[in-house]
Amino acid sequence: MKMTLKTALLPAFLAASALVLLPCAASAQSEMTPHQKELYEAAKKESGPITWYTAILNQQLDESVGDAFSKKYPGLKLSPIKTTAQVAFQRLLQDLKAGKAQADVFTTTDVGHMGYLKSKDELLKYTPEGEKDLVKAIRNVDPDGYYHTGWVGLAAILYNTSKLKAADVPTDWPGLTDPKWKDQITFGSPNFSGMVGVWTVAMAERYGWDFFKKLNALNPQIGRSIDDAVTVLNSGERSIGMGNPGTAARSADKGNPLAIVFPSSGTLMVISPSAILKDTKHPNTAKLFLEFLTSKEYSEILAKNFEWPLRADVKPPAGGKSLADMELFAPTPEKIAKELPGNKEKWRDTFGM
Amino acid sequence: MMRLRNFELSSLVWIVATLILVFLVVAPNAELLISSFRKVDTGVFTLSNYVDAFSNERRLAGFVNSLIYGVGVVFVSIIFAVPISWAIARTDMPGKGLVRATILGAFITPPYLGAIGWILLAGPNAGWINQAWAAIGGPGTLFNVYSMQGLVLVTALYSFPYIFVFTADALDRVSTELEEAANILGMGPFRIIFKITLPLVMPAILAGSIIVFLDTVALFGTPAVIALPARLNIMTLQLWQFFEFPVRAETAAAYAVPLILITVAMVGVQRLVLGRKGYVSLTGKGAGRQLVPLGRWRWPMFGFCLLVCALAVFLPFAALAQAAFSRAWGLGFSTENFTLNNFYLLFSEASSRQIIYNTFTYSAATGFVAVALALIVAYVVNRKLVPFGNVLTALCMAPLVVPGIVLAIGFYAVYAPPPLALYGTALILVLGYTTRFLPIAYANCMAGLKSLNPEMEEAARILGGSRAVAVRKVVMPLLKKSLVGSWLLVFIPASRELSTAIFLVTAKTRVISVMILDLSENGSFEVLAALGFFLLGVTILIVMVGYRLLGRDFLLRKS
Amino acid sequence: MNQPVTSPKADAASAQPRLLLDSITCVFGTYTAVEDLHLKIMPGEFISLLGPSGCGKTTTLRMIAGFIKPTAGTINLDGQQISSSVTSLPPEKRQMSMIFQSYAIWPNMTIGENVAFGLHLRKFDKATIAEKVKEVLDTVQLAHLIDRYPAELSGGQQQRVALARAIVVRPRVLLLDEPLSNLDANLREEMRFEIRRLHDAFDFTTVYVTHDQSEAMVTSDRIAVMNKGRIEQIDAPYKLYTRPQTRFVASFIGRTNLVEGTCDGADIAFDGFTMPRGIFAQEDLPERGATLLSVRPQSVKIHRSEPQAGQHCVVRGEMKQRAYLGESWDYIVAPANSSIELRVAAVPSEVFEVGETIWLELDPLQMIPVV
Repeated sequence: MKMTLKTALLPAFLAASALVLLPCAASAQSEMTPHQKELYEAAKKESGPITWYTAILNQQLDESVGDAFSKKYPGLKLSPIKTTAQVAFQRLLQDLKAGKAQADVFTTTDVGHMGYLKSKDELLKYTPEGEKDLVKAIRNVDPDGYYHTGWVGLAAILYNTSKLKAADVPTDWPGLTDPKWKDQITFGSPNFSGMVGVWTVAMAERYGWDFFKKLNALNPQIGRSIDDAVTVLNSGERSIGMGNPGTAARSADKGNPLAIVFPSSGTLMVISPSAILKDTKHPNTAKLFLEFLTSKEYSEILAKNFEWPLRADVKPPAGGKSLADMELFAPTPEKIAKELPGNKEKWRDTFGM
Repeated sequence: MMRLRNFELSSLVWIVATLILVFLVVAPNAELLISSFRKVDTGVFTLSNYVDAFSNERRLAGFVNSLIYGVGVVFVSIIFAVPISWAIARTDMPGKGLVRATILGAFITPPYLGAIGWILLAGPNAGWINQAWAAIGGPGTLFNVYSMQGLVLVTALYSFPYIFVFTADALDRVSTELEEAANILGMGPFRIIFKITLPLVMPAILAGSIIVFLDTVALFGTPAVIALPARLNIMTLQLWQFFEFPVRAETAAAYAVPLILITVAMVGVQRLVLGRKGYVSLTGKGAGRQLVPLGRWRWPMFGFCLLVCALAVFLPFAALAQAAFSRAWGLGFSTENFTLNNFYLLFSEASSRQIIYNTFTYSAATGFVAVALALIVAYVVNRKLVPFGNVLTALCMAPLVVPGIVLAIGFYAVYAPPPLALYGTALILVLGYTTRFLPIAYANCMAGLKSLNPEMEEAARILGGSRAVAVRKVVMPLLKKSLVGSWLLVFIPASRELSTAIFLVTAKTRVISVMILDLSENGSFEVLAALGFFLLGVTILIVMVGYRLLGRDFLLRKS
Repeated sequence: MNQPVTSPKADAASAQPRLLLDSITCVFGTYTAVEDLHLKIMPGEFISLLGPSGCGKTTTLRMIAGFIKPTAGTINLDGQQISSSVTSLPPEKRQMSMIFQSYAIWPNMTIGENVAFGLHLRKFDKATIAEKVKEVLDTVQLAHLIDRYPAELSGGQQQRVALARAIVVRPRVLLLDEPLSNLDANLREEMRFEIRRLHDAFDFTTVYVTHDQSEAMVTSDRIAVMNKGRIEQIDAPYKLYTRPQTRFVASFIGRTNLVEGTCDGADIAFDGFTMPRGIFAQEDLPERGATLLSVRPQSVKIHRSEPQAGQHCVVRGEMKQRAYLGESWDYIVAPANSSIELRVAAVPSEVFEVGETIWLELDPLQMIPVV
């Protein structure tokens, strides 16, 4: 993964062009099933694009997902709004409180959000056909079928290769609390990012809240999004941190001095569910989009952009293992829903923000 | 019959204008105040929201931090602004044109954009300044932007122009004879500055300081990008947090009320200061003024001005430019890293095109609505067509004391739910902006009307023109410049307004400022910088049009 | 629309007045600007409202124009009520026109457009408007400036534009609010006659507000002298000067000496001398008690030796002070054994020295009792 500036140039150029050309690059269209055809015919009568509140990937990639969706289902349009999970959820609640649904589909990295919406009867129950084609571990996250895996985010250790040697980088989570990382470490905040939120649940479960008190002693730089770590590491502002390996790999591919360590005791997996809002005016388009998130096309876009495909029949990103083969761990949705709200408050007490 | 024949439309206009003002100004703020005393769900009177809002140590710290922040920014702004305004108004310092133009640049820069520039400049390890410091072997970090000091400096760099405008204006009006009188009695030029000149313009400095203070404590964008990573709680950020899940709108209202009280008190103090006799005495024609020769201090003085200009505009803009034209801003300067793709992305994607379109149409609409409403009310008040004109004036100026984010919360509370259900429409944004910038439009229209001799209009009336004819044929053409100026002065801040927008935008009504904040959240500084440059470019274009139409000083003047 | 101007003042007193102000009062807050004012203006008449600043003259004019509603009283125009405390016909429906202190020439319109404004509102066709504008500009000698903008004109020219704009619509009443106060002295004198000339040419009913008595005297048929919101006296200029009715009018119009006396039936006793009551115009004087007489400086003659008394009264006195004004002498004299000091005007050839004993000749018919 380690790259010098020089070797980074060519791939960086290629990747940038690829990003722009993505919709065209998305390969062979899979055939529509009769059920999808039926949905498509109904969806064509629903006017206007559907709005997707999303906490995954980034705005640009979300747009290319939308373009691919339009390509597969001509005439249908998707308008993604990418923010951090907590901001997306806040806006969603604001919409609901005002009685004006803005979003048709919601994808969050904090599964607790879905539990809440489900309990308030704000979700439309729909199980996509494609659910059965997903990697087994991420199927049926909601036994009642209200929400479904739309993305799998990973959390690993990231570092700046121009500042640190691979040998100095810890191989597992507890190594991050080493005093030598004082003024060197960075991560996001559970008060914005759902991914970071799940990370706090997992770390507290394994190592106790003390883990975060130790981190605080290191004067970390705390961003908002989980992806802030990538920005901060790229700039050289900090040298080590916790972040999303997909984002890091994309960034390294652009030429940034970044590398990933998958912790020996397991990489944290954050299942990010998607659901349809009950008040949607475009139920058929929304259902079709949920189908799309289980499609080969979507998983291929993920893999091309160093994200982990949701389907077993799509190859993992270059040089990576498939989800099925990785050492992963994930707190249960119940545990996340139960502990994350308290963790946010604890976080403020520990870190001051 | 006689009464009907003699009926003037003005009474109807008054009623309609009052209703609109109640709708825009009274209702949202009243709702906020009432809900702060209301128990969640039951609606029973309670003080528990206040207890809830202020019993938590972190929230209390946010309150205190905001006050420190405000005072700090005022202090630093004075240090920047007063010497510069003296040098420009009173001395033979070289390069005045450049300094003035740069201050105008600082004035039109959205504060959050400047703050992001400063993150690139003074990030503790990677910022240009600190890298340069490390390169020459300096120990530790020279300047960490993620700190209270950083927050204060970065905010002051974009608010000192207010104090500059007030002070330079006052200095222009202090008769040099007052200084010469002291001179002839044997006082040296240096002592004259401190004993005569500064005391004379002190009220102006104070008035500018109060505006800066109010602006600072109400600021949302700069704290969001600097105070959050610095782990400093600030009032406006705390207000924002109350709207995270679970939403505590009533607590937020209770938390906001003291903020409004502080601003009301401040504006009261300002009124008192400006009403004092001493200030009036220096109004007069400053004809035949003598510039103070600085001698060998000419260049050091210019150096100081240049330093402030560099900190406010040259350096952060250079950092933003580097990001805007980079594939990855961490890669630094190189031809390989150069790209126009960030700008291309802005215009190639439908969503960002829509956002740009939204921003400028909303701002333009706000300009029209605010100026029309302000003109009507100012006219009715100025011509004393109605009783209680001062009530209308108070209503128009009231939004001045309500921080944008608080106003937005009130707007959301009153107009988002049915029956009006304005949430998600462009209208709620335009109305929110209109309310926020109504004081600017009103003050400008009022000044224009005051400068217009009522006889101009009476001449039209007595010749057989109705009031409507007189307004259309005489008042509007004569106030043309004033109205265009008011429109610009509303349009420019509306095009970059963040704190009001943050609660009122929805998927289809997003604007540039909110997109910039969202981009900063994801660390997408390259596209963000490109967007910021685009916004600045449009603003500069509009300012230039304003220059052509209205003369050089239309923005940098007191109104 | 274009109200024909009815024939002028020659009409009998019984004729309908053009304007009738009946018990007009105007109060601003606690300040009474105009109090119980009565004024009757006949068609074609030129009336001046004259008084010091703050006397209520402009307020009265603005009530006539309809810019201010009276607090009490009514205003009638040709017998029709246009203002009362309840309601007021808006200015644009009064068919009047007005010349303002600032001229109020609209800088955004050319001279021609300024003058044509009122004609457009009266819906004349284009050709008629052009013709009328040309005609009136000829009258005020500005025809060559028709396409200029006001900023390019001198003060006097702007004044003429204001005049043209006001008279071109043939108003039922022409109102002028201190129209000459912004002009320099020479131009002011010229314009007085110009205004009167235009009045004589068009016979407009005119109300003219001024604080300058000579302006009022040159232009007006009658002058209403106002003080503290009331009309003190309304008369033709000559009568106003020679027969002032109040102390205020006597001292505001020209200069005067106010002398106190006491009537005791046969005589009037002044400090130091007496005059027989019989030689005064009887009806003006009280039978008994204190009275105040206005004595114009020009009505007193000074002699070196005692003159024949005749119908006049001769009093010995002393020259106290003098000042030479070029066109006349300004003497202060004191009757013997009296605290009275009189100001006397004399032609330059009548030279007296300070301290000289002199004789004063007082004309009882020019000693006017005032209240």
